[in-house]
Amino acid sequence: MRKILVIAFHLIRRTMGTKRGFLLNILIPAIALSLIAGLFSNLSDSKPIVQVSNQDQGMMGGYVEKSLQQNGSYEIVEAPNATEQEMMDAIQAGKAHASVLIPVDFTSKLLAGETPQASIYRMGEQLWSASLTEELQSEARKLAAAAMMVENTSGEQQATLLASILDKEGEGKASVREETMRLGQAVARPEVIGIMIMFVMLLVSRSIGYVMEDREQRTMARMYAAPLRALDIAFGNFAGSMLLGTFQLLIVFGMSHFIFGFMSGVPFGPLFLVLECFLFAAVGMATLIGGLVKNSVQLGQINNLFITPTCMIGGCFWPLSMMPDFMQKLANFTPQKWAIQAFDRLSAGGTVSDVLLQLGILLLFALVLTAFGATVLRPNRTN
Amino acid sequence: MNFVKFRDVVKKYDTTLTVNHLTFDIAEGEVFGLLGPNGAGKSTTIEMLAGLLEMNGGDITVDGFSIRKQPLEVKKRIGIVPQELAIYEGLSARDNVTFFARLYGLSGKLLKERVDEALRFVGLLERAKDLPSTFSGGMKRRLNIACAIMHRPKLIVMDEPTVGIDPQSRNHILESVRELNRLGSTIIYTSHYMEEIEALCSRIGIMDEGKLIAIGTKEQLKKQSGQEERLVFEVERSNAQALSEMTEHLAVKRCEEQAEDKTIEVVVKDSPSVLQDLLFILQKHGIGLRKITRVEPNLETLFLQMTGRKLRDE
Amino acid sequence: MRIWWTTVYYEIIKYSKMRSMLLLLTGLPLVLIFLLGNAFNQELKPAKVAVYISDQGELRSGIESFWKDPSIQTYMETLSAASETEVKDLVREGTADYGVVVPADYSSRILMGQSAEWKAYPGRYEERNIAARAVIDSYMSNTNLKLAAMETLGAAYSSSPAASSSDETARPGEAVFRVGNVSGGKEDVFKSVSAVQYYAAAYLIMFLLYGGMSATLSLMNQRSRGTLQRIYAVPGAFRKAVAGILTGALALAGLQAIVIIGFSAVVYDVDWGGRVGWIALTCLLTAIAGTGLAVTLGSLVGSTKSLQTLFGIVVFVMTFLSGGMVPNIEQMVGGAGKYTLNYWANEVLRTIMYENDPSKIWSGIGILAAIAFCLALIGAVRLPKVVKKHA
Repeated sequence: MRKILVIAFHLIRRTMGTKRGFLLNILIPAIALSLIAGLFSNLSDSKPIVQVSNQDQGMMGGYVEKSLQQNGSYEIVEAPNATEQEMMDAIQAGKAHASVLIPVDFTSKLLAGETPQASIYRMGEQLWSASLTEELQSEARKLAAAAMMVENTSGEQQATLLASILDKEGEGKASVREETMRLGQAVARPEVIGIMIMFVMLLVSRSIGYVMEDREQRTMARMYAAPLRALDIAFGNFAGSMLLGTFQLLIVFGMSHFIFGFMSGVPFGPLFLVLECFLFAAVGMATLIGGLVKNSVQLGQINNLFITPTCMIGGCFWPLSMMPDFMQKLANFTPQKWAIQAFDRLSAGGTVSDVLLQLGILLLFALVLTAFGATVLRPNRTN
Repeated sequence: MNFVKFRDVVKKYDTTLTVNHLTFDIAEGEVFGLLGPNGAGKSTTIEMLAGLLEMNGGDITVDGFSIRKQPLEVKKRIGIVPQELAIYEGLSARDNVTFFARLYGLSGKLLKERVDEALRFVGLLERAKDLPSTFSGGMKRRLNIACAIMHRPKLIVMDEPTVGIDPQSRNHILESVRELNRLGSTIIYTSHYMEEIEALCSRIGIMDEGKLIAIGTKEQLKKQSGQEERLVFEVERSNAQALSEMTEHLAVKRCEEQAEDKTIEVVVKDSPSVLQDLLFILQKHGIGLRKITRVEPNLETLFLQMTGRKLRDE
Repeated sequence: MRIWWTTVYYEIIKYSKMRSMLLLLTGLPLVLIFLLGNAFNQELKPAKVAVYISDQGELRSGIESFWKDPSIQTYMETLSAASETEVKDLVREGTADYGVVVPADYSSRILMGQSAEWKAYPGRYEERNIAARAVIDSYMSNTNLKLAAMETLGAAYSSSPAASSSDETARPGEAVFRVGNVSGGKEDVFKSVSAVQYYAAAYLIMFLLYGGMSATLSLMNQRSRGTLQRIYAVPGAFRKAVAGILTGALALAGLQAIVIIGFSAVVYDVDWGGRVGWIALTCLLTAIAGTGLAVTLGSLVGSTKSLQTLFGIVVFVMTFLSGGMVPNIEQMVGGAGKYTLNYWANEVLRTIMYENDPSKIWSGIGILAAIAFCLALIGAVRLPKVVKKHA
């Protein structure tokens, strides 16, 4: 047992004991994560700015504007006299995200049973702007319907009647009330946890790289010449990689949690448990890759080809749900996805019992990957 | 008392027998030399002895412990100096030795003492804090040895410890082998430099193609070569008649002419009168003689004689 | 000439043996282009709305048909849930982006003229919440309009054609709001090209720059192994051989460009704009600039390992600042992107993709050529430091 620890600490020392190792594996991740945590915590979703130029001489334009205000999702900026060009410029300059122009004859045309020509300007078709457009179309149809209701009247009477109908409508007998739930913070904003996961994977693969160097330079054979079993060496290397990752996580995650307030409302213990389970899977993955390549130099190169793409698919850098479905399905095969999901549940107020499935999947990853890759960790007795 | 016993040891790679039913003993306190050309199976034999390789048949015992049944007991008693420089370039010399010492279970005050001892022994104590990447080839070789002796093993196995280094470091290493032996360790030393083996070893085994083809002290081996000696005549010219007359002499085993060197090489049985007879033949044919050299039998010739090949390709 | 050619030839043979490095220089950009291009493609992904209608009253069928209405399917994908708890779970899990619960007493209250409300559970993504709100709002305002009409007009309403027409589609036909899409502004994330085109350009440039390091690595390796000194000993060969090594690296960059562009064009269907000559020129200039930069950095550091680290960081940072990882980063980094090589090279490639006016392409190429020239010049000055042991 003591000898296993000797090997484990030896691995840690080689990976982290140098200035360069400490810089790359502790300092840079810590700085990067605190920067990211800081950057993204200030970045709350702001409402899209919708510029409205209501030039309508009748009353209906006002109702359109009011309905947009009541929706509550947009920040409405009034620009009564803006021309089309000015509105488009405002979008180009980033001052507004969409602009709505209601023409002079909006009401009169609707009342006459004609189709008025209003405009909406937007920056390409995005989900919100597309549905804003749809909302406006529907609003216009509704106004047209209202106009039809009063088509038998005219003049002053028509206006009063229309106003009373639309005001009644505006009272909103049928309405919707939004309830807030405590939702997870990790899936939609995975950057901090995602990049931490990437750093752990990089560190672990580096340590497996050292193990491979041991094999190449025959220092592992020399270890094995000491009174040790092959399994002792494998366990030592495994434990070394695990301890190394744990150490990095404790420092880096501890810092972003306790100092920079990342997920500060969530208890540290369960979060750390998830990271540990992920670490298991990461070590397994690194050993498997180690087993597939010829030498430690190749390992470094293949890791680049492997870690960044799986982190992308696994949803470490952006929310999974914005990807096409086939990529979301692919994500199920990356341990990163499950770790982030577990984080999400915990941050939504879940307890460890709510993430048992995720932890189980992570451990299963660990088991399968290590089973295939463990030959890397032990000296071979048959060359 | 036989400290190391090889019994019918077999190692197969695919279908070729790299080690072919090897059986021999090494006594306690010996410096045993294992000689053979590259690829003879020396390193494989040593790796099996150190438990690094599994054997396909037979067994090796060290100090009474079987490598098959009690590998850890065997390993405790062995210090192995591998052919490769199995050291960590990124760790200081002291850290290197300390790490391996811990793997042998040393700790505390004893650990420090033994590490100092090993470093002092190879003459690296002053450079203990330096990284091996700043060392010369010879110093790295010495560190390679230090990493194998800090647990005071009863048996030290050195696999080609002098490959590719300067003569000075080589002498230092040879001297330390003698010193280790004086301090009580049994030593197995492999090399394909027969001079080293001849200079160091009290007993020698010669391996070729996985077999031990000869074993014994230097003197025994030389005797085994059948008291043959080689006489080399440098002549002004030669003559076929003379050559055939020389070949026909009863004491002559072989006779070859090297035309371009103008030499005649004669392998003869030890016989008091043969030289006179040969000189007579040369004189009779009017062949002028410049120089006669008598070549003593050595391991090289023994190997040549037994296998028809030279030890090294030069 | 023969010495030059021989060196180029052997450099290429050496590169062809470094399989995993070649894989890295061509495979990784292709993987990244694929992932990023697909992840950020701007097709509308409908928001998933979990709906549970517990109301069994008269309005139920109207609500059901509203959620199934094809006109909202572009924005909404409806997931029917069996209970309010399930709605909440779906939102909490992220399976649904928004949840809606229609209470059991909704129909009866509305029909009795009382106010009634749906319950909604917004999800994680504000954009999708906005979309869901917009859709629900249009339903609510139509319902309210009818209620208002009944109250205000009474019997007159019930007999009017407006009441009998089933839904708000009273006056079908042209849309009232004409849509104008603005492009080219700050919010035009991918600069007038598609996501996959954007990333294809960005990663071609990034990995061409990486490839530009190979000449310096080769020189430094040959210096430390002594083969460079050996060439130095051959009379009149040294300059030509060094030129050959540099050319070999450019040939490698050419290969990289062909593989990345060819593969992405055929397999990912990336439209590169079809102007092969200009694309080739851009790649060549980028490779030259990368080589010059690598030589310069190589002259400052001692070992190939530190060059790899330093150059890697420089290329990574330049790619990041020019928006190659997170598009639209310029505002966040305060325009620092413009001081990177990648920015101009990407700009040229994107212009080639969408612009028909050659003069616009030329101006970009001009700037890129100037940068490449400067870097090559500095590289040439620093080259002796790299190739000679004691310079």
